[in-house]
Amino acid sequence: MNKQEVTAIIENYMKSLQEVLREPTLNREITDFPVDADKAFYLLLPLLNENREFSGRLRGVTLSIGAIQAALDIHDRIHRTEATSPVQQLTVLAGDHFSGIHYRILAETGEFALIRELSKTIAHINEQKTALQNDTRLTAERLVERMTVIETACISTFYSLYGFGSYRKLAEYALTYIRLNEMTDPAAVQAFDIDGAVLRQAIDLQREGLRQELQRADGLLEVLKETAAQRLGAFDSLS
Amino acid sequence: MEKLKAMALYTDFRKELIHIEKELENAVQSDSPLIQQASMHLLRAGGKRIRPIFVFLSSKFGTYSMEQTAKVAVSLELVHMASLVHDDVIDNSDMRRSRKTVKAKWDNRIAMYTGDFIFSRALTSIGEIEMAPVHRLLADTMLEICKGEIIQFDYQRRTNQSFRDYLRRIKRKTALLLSSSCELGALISDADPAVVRTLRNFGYYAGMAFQIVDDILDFTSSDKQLGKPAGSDLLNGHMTLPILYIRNEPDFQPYLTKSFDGTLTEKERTAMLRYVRKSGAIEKAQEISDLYLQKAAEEISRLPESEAKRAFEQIAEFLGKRTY
Repeated sequence: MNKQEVTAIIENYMKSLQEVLREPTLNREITDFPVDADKAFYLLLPLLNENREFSGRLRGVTLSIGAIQAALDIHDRIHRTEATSPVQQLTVLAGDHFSGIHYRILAETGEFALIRELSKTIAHINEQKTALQNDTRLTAERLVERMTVIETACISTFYSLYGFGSYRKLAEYALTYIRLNEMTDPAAVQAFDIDGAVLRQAIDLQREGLRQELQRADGLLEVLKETAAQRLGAFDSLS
Repeated sequence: MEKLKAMALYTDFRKELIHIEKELENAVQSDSPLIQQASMHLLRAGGKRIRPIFVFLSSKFGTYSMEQTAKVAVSLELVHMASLVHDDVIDNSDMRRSRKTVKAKWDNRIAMYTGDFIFSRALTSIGEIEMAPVHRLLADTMLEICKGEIIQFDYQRRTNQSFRDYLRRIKRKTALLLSSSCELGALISDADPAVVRTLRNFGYYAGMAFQIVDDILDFTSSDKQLGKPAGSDLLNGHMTLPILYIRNEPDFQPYLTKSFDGTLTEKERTAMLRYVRKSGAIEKAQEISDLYLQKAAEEISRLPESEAKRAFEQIAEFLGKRTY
């Protein structure tokens, strides 16, 4: 497998996910559904690394995970105090629609265990989001802890249930690191109002852990290591 | 008084209702004190618990198991609750059932997370049941409800909609979940397929009548009875059945325009409500509701004689005549 093939599989998955989430009114009014390339990469990482076919049951499961992640992410776009615009109203409904899609995919394929486990994960993620929004004594460690759940718990649930637990640490470090860095972008609309100093400390903490995880990732195909490193390199040097 | 009447209808199912309330409280237990507080705030506001009751009654037409039925019943009530929390964000509503909404008491974001949390608990509850048709039906119902909300958005502040548009909208908004409550109750108890069909149809017709009465009450009840300002549907840009009858009357046009552009004063709101009440539109809408109730009664008559059948008959009658 080469880099182009990896990129093509990820892009294909993202296209399929956009297709699954499609709804005419929502697509007309909300131009950018939160279908995230990094999350797609880590979700599919075990399948790519173990050369598993992306079809049938696993295709449905990964699309379902993508749908619920998009549902949870899009609800972060709701303004705390002012959500009366048409786009905000539809953003609420978009998240509910994506949640429904995730459930329907799992219902169709009879993935009862995943329905149960994911439901607990969704609850946990929302608890962490609420806590993060109201944490007046937030430390870097706690920020990392909460963001790890928010960013990776759905993917981790998939890993745990389908025997891919060995990929969990890397995905946790990488996705949290990426999100924390994105949270420093002054031009982007941020879901959470986090103190800059705490954020920088959290990034430092994650960087160290991520470096160690990447070094330990012996079983990972070279092309996947390169793809991972390339994306992480967009923020700073890990070497 | 009306609430007491409703409770009297449920007396035969006191044990089940107590069980449901307990299970609902258990379901919203959370590690986040804020989410738990927000969920309990909603739970304690009460509600008619009509969906769980429909599940329970329907399940009595097969091999009844309180434990299994409760999982479905709790799940449906939680789906309904989650949608209410999010609806209040969409409609920017501050009051529901005489209490501050979650979004008003905390903020929109807490309402989003609480709604998503409650939704997840609905799936935890029903996830214990490993029956594919049950999950497929609930998933399709949830998607249809959401689709209904999206259509409602498209139709917001549009005066050129047909009666059929309205009926399609309330089917998705309310009737489907009640219909699915009946169908799921019957499915879970492995009832005869013909009975499942009859119950599904009953739930649909009762649901249509229920929503039409709800839309009538939005104009005929007081703010206090509603627990929110009367006429809220119109103020939020939603054309309901009574308004469809009078939308083209010249004397009503200014109220319609001002309701939709948000300039209706308090005095004008009172005048608008008086106009609707005296226009004859309420009676016409009530006739449509009665037709649906008649259909619902016809469906019930096909069911075998039982305590559950009699309860359905009484509840259907109550739904049509309720005043809150």
